[in-house]
Amino acid sequence: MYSYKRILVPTDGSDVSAFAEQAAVDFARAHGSEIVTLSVAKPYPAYAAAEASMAVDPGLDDQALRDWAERNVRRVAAAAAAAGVPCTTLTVFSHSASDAILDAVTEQQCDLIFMGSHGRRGLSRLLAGSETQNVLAYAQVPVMVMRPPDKSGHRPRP
Amino acid sequence: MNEVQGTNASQASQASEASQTSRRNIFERILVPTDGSEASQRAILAGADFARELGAEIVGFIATPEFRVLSANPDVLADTPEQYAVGSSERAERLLADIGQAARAAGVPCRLEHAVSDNPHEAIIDAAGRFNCDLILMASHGRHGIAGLLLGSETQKVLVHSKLPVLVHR
Repeated sequence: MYSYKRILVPTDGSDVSAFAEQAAVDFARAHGSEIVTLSVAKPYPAYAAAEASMAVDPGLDDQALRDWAERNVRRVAAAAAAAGVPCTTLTVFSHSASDAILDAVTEQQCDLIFMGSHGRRGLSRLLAGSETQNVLAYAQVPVMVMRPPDKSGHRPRP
Repeated sequence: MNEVQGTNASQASQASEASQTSRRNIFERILVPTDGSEASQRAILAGADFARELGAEIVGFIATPEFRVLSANPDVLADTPEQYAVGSSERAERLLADIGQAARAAGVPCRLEHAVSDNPHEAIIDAAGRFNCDLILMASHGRHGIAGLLLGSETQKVLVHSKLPVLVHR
């Protein structure tokens, strides 16, 4: 049985992500849950071959990525603060967003994941193709997949 | 004070009402489809818990395939469409009864619905709309789990086509 008290909210700063973030905050406020938000900074491909050195020699690109991830989680933290929801922010460097998300679920003892989806185009760009599948297939906790309303039309709030 | 004119004030008051409502019930009616698989059974139990936690109600749903004279699906093999209809209704009732039982055990209001369709994902999305559900809760994979396919094909299709949130249970 899940109590849904600690919700992992991965974010990539996109609009689709924003929709899921707000839904997670609303849900957390209604159910007295906390939020753990995570932004995964993916090292640029050039670094992929030099993963070992990257850890000890972060360059300017790394700093830019770190700043980007920080901005993403701060947006969630601000929404949570506005709703009076406790929020922990995490940023990690990882080549695999899905691995980072699955690790965070375990380490942070989360019992629910909230993520955004583009529908036909898949989950937010944070999770391309197989990574989406990995999270949905391997997460030991339920995954709430939120679809933002189409820009053309309206739909009732969830 | 209460008669403040202008659309802003009335919008604000509506917004505040809406947020009060959503504070109580983010999700009010949850569609829980089943295909009789073990994964669905687990999702049903989790769904009943979730609904209780949220104060929501459940619509249990199953889609059974249409009659075919020739089929690789043993559930569909029957002599006549009439026999088939009886058989598949019985099967649907049996599987829906599991949802009813889980809902009762959790003290959650529940209704059960059966549709005949060869496209379960369409039937699921259609049912969610027809019964005014605001969430679909389903297993990440169903009966046709194939090693190597991490995510069930129907779940995948519901995720792609549903405009409602989908809560995926492993």
